[in-house]
Formats: sequence, C-alpha cells, structure tokens
Amino acid sequence: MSSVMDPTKVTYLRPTSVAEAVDALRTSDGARPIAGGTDLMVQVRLGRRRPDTVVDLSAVDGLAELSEERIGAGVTMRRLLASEHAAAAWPALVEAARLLGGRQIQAMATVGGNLCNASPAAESATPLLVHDATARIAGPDCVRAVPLEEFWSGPGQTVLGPGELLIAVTLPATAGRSAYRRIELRRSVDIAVVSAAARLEIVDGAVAQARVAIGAAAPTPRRVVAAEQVLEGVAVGPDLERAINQAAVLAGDACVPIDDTRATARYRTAMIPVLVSRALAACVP
Amino acid sequence: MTDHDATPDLTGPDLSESYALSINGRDREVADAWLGESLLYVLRERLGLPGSKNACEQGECGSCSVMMDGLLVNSCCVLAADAVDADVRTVEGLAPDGTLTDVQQAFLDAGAVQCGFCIPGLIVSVHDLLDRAPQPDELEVREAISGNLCRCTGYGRILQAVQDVAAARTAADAQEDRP
Ligand SMILES: Cc1cc2nc3c(=O)[nH]c(=O)nc-3n(C[C@H](O)[C@H](O)[C@H](O)COP(=O)(O)OP(=O)(O)OC[C@H]3O[C@@H](n4cnc5c(N)ncnc54)[C@H](O)[C@@H]3O)c2cc1C
Ligand code: FES
Ligand code: FES
Repeated sequence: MSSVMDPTKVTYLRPTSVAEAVDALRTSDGARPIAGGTDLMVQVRLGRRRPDTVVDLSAVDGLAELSEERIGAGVTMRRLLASEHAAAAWPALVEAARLLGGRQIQAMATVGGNLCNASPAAESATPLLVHDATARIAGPDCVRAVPLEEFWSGPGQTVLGPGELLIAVTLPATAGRSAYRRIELRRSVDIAVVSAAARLEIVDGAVAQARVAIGAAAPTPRRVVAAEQVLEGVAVGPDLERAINQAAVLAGDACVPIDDTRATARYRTAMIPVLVSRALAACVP
Repeated sequence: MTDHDATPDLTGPDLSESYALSINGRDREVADAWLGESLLYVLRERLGLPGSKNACEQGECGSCSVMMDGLLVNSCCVLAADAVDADVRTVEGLAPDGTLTDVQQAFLDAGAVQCGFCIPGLIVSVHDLLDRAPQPDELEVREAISGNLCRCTGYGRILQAVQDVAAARTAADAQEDRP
C-alpha cells in the first residue's frame, strides 16, 4: 500500500481564514483546495489529478456555517441531514444529501466539494438550482456572487479563476415545496444516472412560481426555463396535471446527454421526463 | 516549489515533524510523517493497526471504516491532518485484546463471515448503527451498512447477526429493568 499523495511532490497547506486560503491557492498553479476529500483523494489516487499543493479547507474559519439563507461550502451532507431548518426549507436538497453515498461518505462530503467538482450528476446541484442559489466566491481581488446556473462551464469545470474559492451558497427565502428524484444503478455507492429537482410555489390555488432542473442530462446541471414557464399561472387540478406532462416533455427536449458506462444517451433522454413529472407531482400539496 | 514547509506562516509547525493522534483513547505519536497522508495509511503503515482494511482506497467499499469524533468515515478518504485533535476509534478499540464484542460474536454465531475482508468495517458500522438506533428495522440496517461492500456473503447472515444483537441487547435491558 502506498500513500495516496507523495510528500516529496505535494505541498500540504492548512490555512485558517479565507484570506489565507486564497493566498495559499496562489502559491502555485497546481494548487488545489481539499474539503471532505471524497472526490479529490480518489482522483489523486487514480491519477486523474496531480496537484502539487493541496490547500486543506477544513480549518478555515466560517466555511462550515449553516444558517437560514446560507450554506457554507464546508457544510457536510450529514449536517444537512441533521438540520431541521434544511428539511423544512430545502426538502429537495436534503433528499439529495440522503442519496449521496453511504453514511461514511455523507460524513465527509461537503456541498462546496460537490458543486466545485462540477459533475453533471452532482447531487446537490439541481436542488440548489430550484432554490435559486447564488454562489459566493472569494478571490485575490474581491468577493463576487454568481447565480448558480452560471457557475459551471462544462463537465468538471467551474467559473472559478486562479486563487478563487467557493465560500458559500446563499438562498433567498423561497416558498412552496421542492422535491428531488433520481435513477441510480446502485443505491448508495453510485452517482445518479439522471436526476431532476423541482419546486412549485402555489398561491391561491395556482402556481405562482415554478422551477425545474435536470442533472446528468447535459454537460452541466441546468434549469429548464421553458418547462417552468408552462407551469406558472396554472390552476391546481387537471390543468396542472396537463402542464406537468408538458413540462416533462420540454425537459426531455432540453437533454443533451452522453453515453457512458451507466446508461445510454437515449435512456437518459427517455427517463428525464419521467423524473421531472415525478418531482413536480411531489411538489403539489 | 515542492518543499512542503516552504510557507511556514500558513502551515504553522514543520509538517514533516511528529504529530499526535488520539486512537482508541490513547495518544499515539506519528513520527517523521506527512499530514497529507490518508488516515488509513497512517493507521496501517505507521501505527501498526491493520484492522482497518484497505480494499479499494476509493471510498467505495467501507472496509476502512473508523469512527472520527463520533462519525463513521472511510479512513482512506480522510487526511491524517483532519484526524489530529479528533477522537479516532478503530475496530481494534472495540473490545479488550483477546475478547469479542457482542456484534463480533453474533457475526461468528450467524456464520456471517466468509473471507472476512469486509468484516472489520462492517463491525464498526454496525456498532455505530446500534449506538444510534438500538432496535433498527431491516431498512435501517440496510441503509446503515449500504456503504460497506461484501463480495462473499450476500448480506443475509449479516442482517441476521445485527437483528440477533439488537434482540439480545433488548432482552438484557429488560432483565436489568426488572425489580
Ligand atoms: C463512494 C462514493 C459515493 C459517492 N456518491 C455520490 C453521489 O451519489 N452523488 C454525488 O453527487 N457525489 C457522490 N460522490 C462524490 C463526492 O462524495 C461528492 O461530490 C462530495 O460532495 C464532494 O465533496 P468533498 O468535500 O469530499 O470534496 P473534495 O474531494 O474535497 O473536493 C472536490 C473538488 O472540489 C474542489 N473544492 C472543494 N471545496 C472547494 C471550495 N470551497 N472552493 C473551490 N473548490 C473546492 C476540490 O479542489 C476538488 O476539485 C461519491 C463519492 C464516493 C467516494
Ligand atoms: S478502502 Fe476505504 S472505502 Fe474501500
Ligand atoms: S466476507 Fe468476503 S467480502 Fe465480506
């Protein structure tokens, strides 16, 4: 057995503040933050990433804060699962946290790591999209805010520049129910084949606001605005059932998936409407 | 720069020095080591605690499961640095040397052990489960051990062993409560 990382080749830094972390990231072009390590340790071991400096975020002050409208990048899935506020305010996110890995992984896996790893299948991505999350980013020059739907630029890619760090996501107080559905090959040690999150805010018997997002169906997790539009304004009842079917079809149209070991593109495209209608149905009181 | 103490203001003490980990209630010195190593590597290769197994080193199989500050984790994905200041409990710390816990005994009695490679991790996970939920239903047990892969048994006897322990503990508690 060899150590995952080689100390003669990798520098280990453990900053205690955001400013120090940003400085630490700038010490080398090959620097990489590490949070829970459940993605990075595996990627290093498989040779997919070779950081020359790892910047451990676990001691950074304030990164693991969880409040009513803010989820620190260092908040773990287990913290979300234990939070009454999260369960009440962001049910889709908590459902996704429950599906991410087994208990061992949930104890370490962070929201920031999940978003920054930028898998098209990232579990927390679509729930945060339907809750209108904003990414808070700290860098060498400033702190900036990016709507989460603009946070990813491709598979494994984010808009984070050199020395930039995701600090938190902030969420406006959103009303209504949200839900998350996915298809997986194996329940706890596999990522989603496809996934969908939805949120419906219903006021006076009609949909006041709708959100639909799909995962593992395109190069990045994405919102499907066309599907949202056919839902908004529709009265609960048969009209909404029809609109949900329409939204599901539109979500299928928004898919640009790939073939991989888990499923074919065709299967993914066929399953997205199923998941979207299930997620939407779960949002109707 | 590849020197790992190149920026001492960020790292504090020289990281190639010794550091201490609290393992099974004892402080253990780790000498001439590097904090970027995985906790599993430190346990097995530096501290001579081979109970936690290295099967996949990818977070998939749970055979390296340990408790860290009361949370079940895969030690192959944890940096040794994150375990400094934490209370780490490994399978070796569950029972005094030469004795077995009720969970270990139940696994043997139920015939839940074949090649045995997954068993230390499962034992740690099951202790964690029964501490949280003394009378788990089958779904809870399956959820609790879903991060532990066993390639031999098909899990049936493992599930049986867990129920046997839960029943035995409940019976023992009832006995104690009797006036
Ligand atoms: C067995 C197993 C099962 C899994 N199952 C799932 C699953 O079902 N669904 C799923 O979505 N994922 C799954 N994962 C992947 C992983 O656990 C999650 O993506 C997790 O949330 C990553 O968080 P982390 O804190 O461990 O990230 P790390 O591994 O620490 O980091 C991940 C990446 O993000 C970067 N990073 C981390 N934090 C920041 C930050 N604040 N700012 C900038 N960059 C940052 C790192 O440099 C790295 O590139 C699984 C992993 C394993 C091993
Ligand atoms: S060796 Fe750690 S999970 Fe398999
Ligand atoms: S007994 Fe062989 S892997 Fe479980």
